[in-house]
Amino acid sequence: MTIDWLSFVTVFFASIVSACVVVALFATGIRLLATPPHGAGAGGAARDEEMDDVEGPQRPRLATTGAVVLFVLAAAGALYGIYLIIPALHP
Amino acid sequence: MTAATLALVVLVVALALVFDFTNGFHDTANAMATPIATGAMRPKVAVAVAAVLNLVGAFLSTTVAQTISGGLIKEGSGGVVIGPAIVFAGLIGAIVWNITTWYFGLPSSSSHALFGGLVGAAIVGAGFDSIDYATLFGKVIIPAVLAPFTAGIVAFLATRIAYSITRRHDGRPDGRRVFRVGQVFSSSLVALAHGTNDAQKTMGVITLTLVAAGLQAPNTPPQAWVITACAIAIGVGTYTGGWRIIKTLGTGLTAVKPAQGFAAEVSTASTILASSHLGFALSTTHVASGSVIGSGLGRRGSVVRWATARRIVTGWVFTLPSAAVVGAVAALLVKLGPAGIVIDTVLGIGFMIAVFLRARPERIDASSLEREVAAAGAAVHRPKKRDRRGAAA
Repeated sequence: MTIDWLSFVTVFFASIVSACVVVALFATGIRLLATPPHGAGAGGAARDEEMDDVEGPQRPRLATTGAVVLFVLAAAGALYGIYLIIPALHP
Repeated sequence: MTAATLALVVLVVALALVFDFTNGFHDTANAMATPIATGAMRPKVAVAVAAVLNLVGAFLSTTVAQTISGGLIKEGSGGVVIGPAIVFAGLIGAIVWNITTWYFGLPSSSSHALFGGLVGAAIVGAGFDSIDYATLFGKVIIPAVLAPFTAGIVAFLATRIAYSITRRHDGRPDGRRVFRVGQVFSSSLVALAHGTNDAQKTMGVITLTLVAAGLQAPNTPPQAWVITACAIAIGVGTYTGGWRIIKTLGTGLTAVKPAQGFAAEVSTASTILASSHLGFALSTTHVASGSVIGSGLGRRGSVVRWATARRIVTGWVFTLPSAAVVGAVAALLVKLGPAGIVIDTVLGIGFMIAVFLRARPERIDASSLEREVAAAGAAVHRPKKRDRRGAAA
């Protein structure tokens, strides 16, 4: 029988690491976008946790910058994926 | 070459393109079920994006396979010659099974259907010895068992991470809606990867058939018309959208939310890319289904419908043997000579028409799916800030 367990284990961990890193980058970016403005108190009533828009430009500039940087890093992960997909790019 | 052989080659090319088409519409769901379910993309837009990316993907990667069956059948020196007749019967088996699983809305692997059809046809054409059972086990069956678990674990972890990072304890908006923007990109990546993988399979089948018939020199790349035809067939198939399968994968297994959908798609893309570049091939369908289930387990308060999961897995178990049986029956008919081939073709076309007619009354398409997503979304709809102000004024 020809089951290449070593390459399976490699695939398994490569998948976990790459997926988790990209998701963590994007999620942290979203978390930064949701940073409340300085001096704001806690929010009001219970809200639906899924469909909330984050409104208003009042968040700290640093948070916005950080979020953009993280989104760009996540996009770089996607670009690396495209690089892997196209055989002509890696002879 | 006789006129009969030429006719058979033309028939094989036509059937291969039909298979490519069913491959496309069967697998639209792998990339687009989750973004459609969360409303990240409207159904029509999603299938259009997937179709274009499959079309483009088909042109990006045209490495010709060395064997039609990927080593499942002992081809080449000392082995079986897989002539147009066996490929013809194998394709009939694959198409019939793809149409059947579509009718039941089951995501099933098109490669398994193709392998199954070819194996069945080869057994009839050249006996049980023609199959390499070690390869069948190591390259098809074991990966099919491992794929959903791998993707499931990856998606489970990714979903946990997405929710724990964005969770807010102060009741403020968490902005998880933004994940829908990410979904557009993550699902597109899955669609592109699919196009580069799957169109290539049909190109290989056609090219190797042309080589077998003496119409093309061995070890030459696929001809331009073959690449173009395969790209168009898979693109049109994808655009047609296997709505029944999209419905199963997007709404049948678990209710998919944006953060969860994003995590599932990134997991699918990561697992497929890792598998195709680190040498352990996994089926897109098995990976995508595993990701959806894993992400459903990873989100607090979500429910996975195991009955649906069981139906899907049952479909997987039967894919290879069922396609093999149909392929074998088709190969038996081919043995009758030209009349058998005509009977095969008529029966195959008749079967497709019958299934499409049967499916019509309970038609599932873009608009019915959109209504469903809208109905699910209405329960959690919040008007935009501007609209709320307007209402207050």
